Order: sequence, then C-alpha cells, then structure tokens
Amino acid sequence: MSPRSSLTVRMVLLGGGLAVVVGLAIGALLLTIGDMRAASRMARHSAQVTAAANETEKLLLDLETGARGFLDTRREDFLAPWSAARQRIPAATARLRSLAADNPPQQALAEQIGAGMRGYLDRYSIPLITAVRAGRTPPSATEGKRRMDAVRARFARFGAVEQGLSERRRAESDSAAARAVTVGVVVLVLGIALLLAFAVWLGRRIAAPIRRVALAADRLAAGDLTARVGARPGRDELARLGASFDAMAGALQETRDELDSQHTELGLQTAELEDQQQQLSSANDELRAQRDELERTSAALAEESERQRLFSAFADALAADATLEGRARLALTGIADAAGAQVGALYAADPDEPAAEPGLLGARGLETAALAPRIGPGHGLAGRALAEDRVLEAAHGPSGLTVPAFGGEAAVRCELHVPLRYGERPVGVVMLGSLDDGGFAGADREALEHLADQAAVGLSNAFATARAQHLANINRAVLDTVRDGITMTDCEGTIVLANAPAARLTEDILGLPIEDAKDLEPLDVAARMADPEGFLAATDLIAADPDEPTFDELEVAESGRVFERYTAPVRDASGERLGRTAVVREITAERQAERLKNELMATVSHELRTPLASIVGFTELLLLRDPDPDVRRQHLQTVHGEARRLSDLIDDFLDLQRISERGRLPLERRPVDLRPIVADQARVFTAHSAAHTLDVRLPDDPLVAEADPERLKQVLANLLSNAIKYSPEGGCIGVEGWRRNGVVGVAVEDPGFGIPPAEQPRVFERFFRAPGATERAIGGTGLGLALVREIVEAHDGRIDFDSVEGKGSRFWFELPAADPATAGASG
Amino acid sequence: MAKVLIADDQPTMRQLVRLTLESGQFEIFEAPDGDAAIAIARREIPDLAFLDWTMPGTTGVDVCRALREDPATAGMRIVMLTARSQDGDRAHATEMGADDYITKPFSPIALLEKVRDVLGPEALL
Repeated sequence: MSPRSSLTVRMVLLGGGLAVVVGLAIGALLLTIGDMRAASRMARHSAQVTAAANETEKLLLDLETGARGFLDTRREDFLAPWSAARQRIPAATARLRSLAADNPPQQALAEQIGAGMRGYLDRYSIPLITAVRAGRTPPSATEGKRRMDAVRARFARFGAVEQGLSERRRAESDSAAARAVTVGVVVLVLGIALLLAFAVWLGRRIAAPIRRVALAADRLAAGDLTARVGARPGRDELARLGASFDAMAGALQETRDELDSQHTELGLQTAELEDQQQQLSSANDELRAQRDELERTSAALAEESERQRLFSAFADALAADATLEGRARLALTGIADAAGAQVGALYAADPDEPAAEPGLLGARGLETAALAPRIGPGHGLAGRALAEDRVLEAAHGPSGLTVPAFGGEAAVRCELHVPLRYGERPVGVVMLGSLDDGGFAGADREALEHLADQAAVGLSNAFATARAQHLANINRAVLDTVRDGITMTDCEGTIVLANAPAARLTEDILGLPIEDAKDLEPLDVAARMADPEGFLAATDLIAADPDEPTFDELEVAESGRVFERYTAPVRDASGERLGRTAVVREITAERQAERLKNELMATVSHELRTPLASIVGFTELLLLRDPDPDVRRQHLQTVHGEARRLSDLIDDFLDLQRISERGRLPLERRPVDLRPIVADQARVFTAHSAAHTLDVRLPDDPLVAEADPERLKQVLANLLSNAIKYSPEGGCIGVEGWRRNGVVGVAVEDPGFGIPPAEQPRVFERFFRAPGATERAIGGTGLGLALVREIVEAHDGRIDFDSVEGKGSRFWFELPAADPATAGASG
Repeated sequence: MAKVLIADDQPTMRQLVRLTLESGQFEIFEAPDGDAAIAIARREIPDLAFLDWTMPGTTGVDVCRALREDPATAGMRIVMLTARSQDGDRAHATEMGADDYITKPFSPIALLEKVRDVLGPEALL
C-alpha cells in the first residue's frame, strides 16, 4: 500500500492546495490595502506642509503690519504683533524645514524662505524699529518691500509645488483603494469556486463506493452469502474495503459448506459413545464398594483425631489459668464435660508434700460446704480409687445422693472416680456424678484417665507456682519491712529490684520518684549533695563495678539529711556476676546524736574544768606557801564554793543521764509550802550579783503542793540563775507566786536578751544553748532547763515561758495544789 | 618591773593567777572581759598577757588577734589560759597569734615556770 495512493493523503493535499490559494489571495488583498494607507498618509503630510507654510507666511505679514502700525502711530502697544511674530519665526521656519525634509528641492526652498525672513527682519524690520525709537531716519521702505516681495515669491513657489504634490498623492490613494476592492472580489469568487469543486470531488470519489459496500453488507446480513461489492480498480482505502468485503463473504460461504459435512460425521460418533457409557457403569459399582471401605477407615481415624483434639484443647484450657483454684476448676470442667457428668468435685495434694491428704480444690453442681475438705484412702469410693489407683464406678438408682434441681431435687444415679496420677503416684481424685439412668456407659474411660493425668501435671505445676509465689511474697514482704533501702542493678545498670524503703529513700535523696531517677545525670545528683566531688568520685567507683564492696556517705545539702550507702557485687551460686546491690540507710539521727554528744562532751569538759582549775590552783598554793590563817580561810572558802559548783554540775548531768536511762526522776514527794523555798533561793541569788535586784512577791496564804522540796529548789535555782545570766546588763528580776483554780504557780521574769521566736520551740531541749550564749561567754551546760522541765513534769505540773527578743523572758511553772492543812515541817 | 595582764571573766581565776605571781616582781593588770583587756594592753603595753578564751563580748582569741594586728602591741608575749581543750583549739589559738597555751586546771608552779620561759629568769627575781 503506497502512501501516494491513500485517499486520506489525497484529501489532505487537496485541502492544503485550497488553503494556499485562499491565503495567497488574502495576502494580495492585504498588500493593496497597505499601499492605499501609505498614499493616504502622504496626502495628509502634504496638507500639513501647506498649513505650516501658510502659518510662516502669516508671521511675515504680522511683522510687516506691526512695523507699519508702529511707524504710523509711534505707540509701543502697536508693536505687540511684531514682537510675537519675531519670537515665533525661528521655530516656524525650523518646523517648515523639517516637514519638507522628505523632498530635497522643497527643503532647499524652505531654507531660502527662512534666510529671506531672517534677512527681512535683521536688515530691515529691526533697524526700522530701532531707528524710529531713536528718532533717526528709518531705512527706505523700498528696501523692505523688495525683501518682502522676494520672500513672498518663494512662499508662492513653495505652496504651488506642495499643492501639486498633494494632488498627485490623493490620486494615488484613490487608485489604491479601487485596486483593493477588485482584489477582494476576485479572492471571494475564487475561494467559493474551489470549495464547490472540492465538495463534488468528495461525493464522487468516496460516498458512492461506501454506499455500494453498505448495500452488499445488508444482503450478507440477510443470509445471502453470494453478495459481492465487485472489483474496483485502485489501491486506495475504498478499493481495499470492497476487496476485503468480497473475501470475507467468500470465506463465510466456504465455512458453511464445511460445517454441513462435519455435522454428518458427529452423528456417527454419538452412537459409538453410547456403547462406551454402558461399559463405564459396571466399573462404577466396583468403585462404590471400595469407597465404603475407605469411609469406615476414615471414621476410625476421625475418632482418634477427635480424642487428640480433646486432649490438646484440655491442655490449652489448663494453660489459660496458672492459679491453683483456676486450674482445678478448668480441669474439673474439662473432665466432667468429657465424661458427660452433671456434678463433680476435684481433690488434689501437692506432690512435693507426700504426707498431705488431697484437699478439695473445686466442685461442680455441689455445695462445697457439704463436701469433705480433705479425703484419705478410707474415704468411700473416692478414697478407694485414690488408694487403688484405678477408675471406680458405682450405680445407685433413684435412691442415691440428691442435688438441687429445677424446683426440687434430683438423684445422682451413678458415680465415677478417676484418680489424678502424677508420675507413678495418685495425688488426687476427680469425683463425677451422673443424673442420667445410663450413667457413664458412653464415657471413654481411657480418654478420661488421660485427661486426669494431664490435670495432675497441670495442678502440680500450679502447686509449685503457688509455693514459689508464696515464697516470693514473703521475700518481698521481708525486704519491704527492713529499714534499709535495698536495690539491685543488673550488669547493664538496669534496676531489677528495689524494695519499698529504697523508693522512699531515693525520693528523700533525689527529691523525685525512683522511676524518674534513671534519667538523672550523676552531675545533677551531685549538685544536691553537700560534697559533690566526693559523691562523683564514689559514683565513678560504683559505676566501674569493682569486685570489692564500696561504702560512702551522702549528705543532701538542702535537707541536711545524711545517708550511708553500701554496695557490693552479687553473684549466683555458680559464681557468675548478676549485678550489684546497693543498701542505703538514713543515718541523720545517728550523725546528729554523735554531733550533740561531741558538743556535750566539749561543753561538759569546759564547764567541769573551770571550777576544777580554781580547786587545783588554790589547794596547790595553800600547800606551797602555807599562808597565814585569814588568807588560808579565804582560799579554802573559794575552793569550797568551786567544789560545790562542780558538784552541782555533775548532779545536773547525772540527773539527766538517769532520766534518759530510767525514763523518770525518782522523787520524794510530800506536801510542802513553796513560799519558803522561793524566798530562800531568792536570797541566795541576791548575793550572786550586785547588778541585779530581786523583787519577790508572794501571797500571804501558803502555796502547798505534793512535791520533792530538794527538786523544787533545783528548779528555782536554775530559773533564777538563768534570769541573772541572760540579763548581763543587770536590772530587776521579778519573782511571783500564786494559787488559783487548783494549782500553785511560780514565775521568774528577767529584763534580758529574750529568746528569738525561731529558737523558742527548742528551749527545753537538752544541750540547747540560747543563741549567742557561747559568744557572750554565758556559762552553762544546756542541761538546766531540760532538767527543770523533767522535774516539773515528774510532779504532774507544767512549765512554759513568754519571751520577747531584746525585752526579756518570763518563765513560770504550775503544780497541782495540795490541801494547805497538810503542809508539814518544810517551812 | 615586768607588766602582766590577766584577762578572765571569773574573779577567782584572776585572783589565782595574781596570787601565783605574787612571789615575783610584776606590775599586774586585770581585765574582766575582752574589750577591757584590749584597752589595758594598748595603754600599758604589758610584757605578758594571760588570756581566757571564753569571755563575754570579745573572746580571748579575738583579743589575741587584735593585739597582734596593732603594731604597738604586736610584740607582746601572749599565753592562752583556758578550759577549752578540744582538738584544734590549740592550733586555732596559735594561728591567731598565741605564743603558748595552758589548759585549765593548771598548776601554779607550772605557770610560774612558763612565765620564766617566756620572760627570762630575771623576771622572777
């Protein structure tokens, strides 16, 4: 098939030719129109040039008339048109020259006009005006007229030439327009003619052959296989379509003939097949017999597979619950279902405790309260099954054990007992009961025994798990009960164990929960410590996981709490490293007690040494120098006083020591009047300080209490001594006694330092010294007030104080009042 | 005659030291607290001072440091005479400028020997 012969190609070529012809015609039309526009533009230009020439000429006339008006009237205002024209002349002549630039002869003429006008102006018109203004003789009017005429002659020539040009151009424009119309008409006519020719060609060459093919196709569809289009010369698409159609029709006719002959042959083959079918039918009977045999075998296999499925499902069910009770319940359900039993109970013992009798672990359809909690070998049929290690069955008929049923009771007609075997030994028994007359006739004993053995293994595991869990619970409870925080980290540093105190202590040390502690960097933790460098060094050492135990102390800077940390590697029985334990214990109280003890030792030592120094020194002087009796007596008095002071100190200390050991101070109580004791002590202390006065106010009635007078003396001595010591500036110490509401009380008031509010709660603590007492060198052990409180409270009384810093303090105590009549010889 | 300053808040202690030194030729000054001790020392420039540590107001070691810092009194011999006997107390006093340190109770004889060591034997004549 050559492309040249293609109908499509020919149509494209014809269409293209048509488009080219139309395009060329339109191009000619456009060119003609372009000519017309150019001619029209030139005509407009000529008109512009003529107008410019006219305007320039008018300026020349303005010069002339303006000058003449001035000459006649000699008035400057007549010169206005002249001045305006003079100013505009250079621009006007330049414009005329530039408009005529397309035509050199006209341009030359325009230049001459410009020169003429300049000549007229410079040589005649301006000198004329100047002369008239100056009163001189104006130049000759003839000269002006000559120049004027020459210029105007040039204007006339310029105008005539331009007029001629203008007419010629207008004529050109008209003829171009006429040409454009002609070309347009020709193009239109040519285009229409070509289109008509193309349409006719299409009809003849394409539509007619297609119609012929369509007619032949209609005939073919109607069943006339002899229909043909007829050969047509040419190789284009239509010729090929006709040829193909004819070939197809011919092929169809041949196929139909062939089919007719095949149909005849098929009839013969059908008869042959019917014979063969007869033979097959007899073979089929034989095969059916074989199939029945196979089905019987398959049923047996299915039964075995069903059993295996049952065992496997039972094992899965048991695995679902690891607790002993849950597993026992599941085992009982599984076995009872397999046996078809409505009621049942399961007993089992821990195989690791051979002496134990199996206990009741689960019941189905029976009240557990009605069942024996344990069964032994002698316990009925179940006991026998257990002892003899075999399955036992018994039938009762309607008179047996009854169980609740719908609206009444049903009798257990048959019972079946299956031992639970673990290894070679029964560890329990499953008791099953059936309410049906048939009993357990349909039950698969072998399968039940197998299930019971499976249950025994599952229960033994559950026993072991429960035992392990119990042990783990005990271990955990013990770990949580100890005072120390115990943690263990594995070799990767993950915390695998932390007891409850560990969590608490971690929070105390780090200030955040133990779960968040692993996110902390050692530097963050160190920042909380009183000794960050020491902490980091210890942490590095522990992180290196040495074989030796480590031991360090952590002091939390903010809280001041101190913790002791012991870590050691952990190995299992075979010596393999499991990780490291850390034991943390708070030792804040111990450290504080130690510090207090050290402080006490320092204070006691200092306080004891001071009077001792006088005793040792004065006695040595007495021995060395043997002074006269007066001096000796004086020295001995000093020694005696200091020895007494020493003795009092030791008494205070020992009293408190005794209280802390026995919990209570021994008292010798009897009814005493407080007034003489208060007055005596006030007198004693008046002598102690010259700077102080004592103002003692006691009621007239006795202040009787059931008390130990020696201890009361101690209380007053301490309060008075403090009042003097803590008001070193001197002043008045107030002492007051009262009785009201069943109590007797005494107060001692001083004008001293007072106690800062922050320190007030600690005033009665042992070894508490008022702030500044040491700096002010106020002696004392810090034991006095602690002892005073012990004494007052041992008397069932109470002691308290009011104090204002810088103003002074008022200490007072109250004791239960006793009947004044009983007050004895103490006064 | 050598000048000796005794600073102690306990009158019996001052009396004991004074009586101990009676056998020698000394001009003796007594101060009941630290501030008085500094005032007397600046006025009299004693040759030797016995300072108690625990005194009201300025303590003995503070007096010691104050005297050492003042060029007028820097050359004095200073002996601490105190009941403080904890670890580090003696070292602290030495650091503050004390020449010697006697703990209470003390023997008057030993005190005299210390004076002889510090001031020379002729001081006791």
